[in-house]
Amino acid sequence: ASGSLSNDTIPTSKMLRLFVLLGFAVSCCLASERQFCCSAEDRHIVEKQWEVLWGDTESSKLKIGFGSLLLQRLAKEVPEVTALFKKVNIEHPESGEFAAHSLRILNALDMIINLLDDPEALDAALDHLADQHHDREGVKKAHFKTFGQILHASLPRVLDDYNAMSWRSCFKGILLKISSKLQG
Amino acid sequence: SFGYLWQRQVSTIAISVTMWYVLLLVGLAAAATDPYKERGFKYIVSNQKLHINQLLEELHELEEKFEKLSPDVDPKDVRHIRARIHSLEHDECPRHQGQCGGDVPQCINDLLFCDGHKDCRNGRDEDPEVCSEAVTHVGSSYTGLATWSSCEESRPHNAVVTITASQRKDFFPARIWVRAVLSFEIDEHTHRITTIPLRGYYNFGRRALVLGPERGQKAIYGVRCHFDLGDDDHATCHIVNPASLHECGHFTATRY
Repeated sequence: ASGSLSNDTIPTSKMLRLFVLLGFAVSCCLASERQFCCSAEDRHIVEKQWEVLWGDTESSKLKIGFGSLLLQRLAKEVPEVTALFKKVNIEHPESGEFAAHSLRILNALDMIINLLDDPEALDAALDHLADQHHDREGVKKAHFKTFGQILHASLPRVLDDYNAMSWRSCFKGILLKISSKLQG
Repeated sequence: SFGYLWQRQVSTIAISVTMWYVLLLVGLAAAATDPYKERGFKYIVSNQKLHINQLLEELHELEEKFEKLSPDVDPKDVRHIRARIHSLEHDECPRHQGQCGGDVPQCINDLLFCDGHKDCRNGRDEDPEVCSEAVTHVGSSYTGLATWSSCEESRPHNAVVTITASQRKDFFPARIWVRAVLSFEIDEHTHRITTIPLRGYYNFGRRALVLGPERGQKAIYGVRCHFDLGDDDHATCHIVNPASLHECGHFTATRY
């Protein structure tokens, strides 16, 4: 993508650059876990951008709203999930049970993001979450993949600053680890 | 006649007793003149000794009291404090220049330090203290607890910069070219250590050790150490990206 002089080649070269960059981001995440995928700077960016949401004292309202929105979207895209959340009363999203569960999930997300600075503690926390999901029969790896997609589609709507590359490279590993103990 | 005899006998006894007494006295006097004097002398000497002992004891007590007062300030600490004040005073020179120091500040180009020609008005640029090569002595190690602000996701750990080779060229003595190794522990449990070969130079005028990636090595990190604490044993080091000089981490290094 160097030395392109004519005007019409610039968009293609830009596209190509983006493509190469994206390919690089994906491949490096698979190749080396430590340095490049979810690097120190990525983690700082994610933490900083996430922090913006919790400026007010009424943060639990926001957490409940955002959490229940994510879960409802997931249930809409993968209908079989509805049965898994029966215990927390997903049929009535306004109910106390479901609000509490939404808060639980958002708090776990918050904990993960705040532990990004401490890889060892993060690993322990993710391992615990993996155990908890392993105990729920019917939860599948594919559900986490869809959840990741929903998360990446929704976050830019609530965050003014959203660095998609950083968030993706970090959450790919996180969701993989949480779903690592599932059968299907 | 009995009475006379008795009297004579008594007087004879008296005379003999007196005689014996006088004899005894004479003998005693002859024997005692020397020992008496010696004993008196000894008495005075031991008295003086006792007096000196008492003085010593008092002195000891005073010394103990004195030692309990705060000790003298370490000249090294004074030097460090002076250096820190100095670096806060912002009489820093423009880029590529070094401070001559002394009473009248003067900045000269850092290529003119330690080149055998006096360029400062006070000649400080050729001062043996300024031109000390101690920083680059092979085997010198600078160690400190590195804190990372980016590049490496890790809690603070020890980082070490060790000089493995150094060379000063006769035709260009203003720099010392060095090879060094940066190493730090990346995993405490498995004791995994990253070692990064570096090369660079020591700049007398700026008192800076500047290290970049070794030829043919991946350009991961560079190191910049400023020996800005007034001696050759302490430095402020930054681990940086070699291209942008973006700071990844920093540590306060001590020669080990």
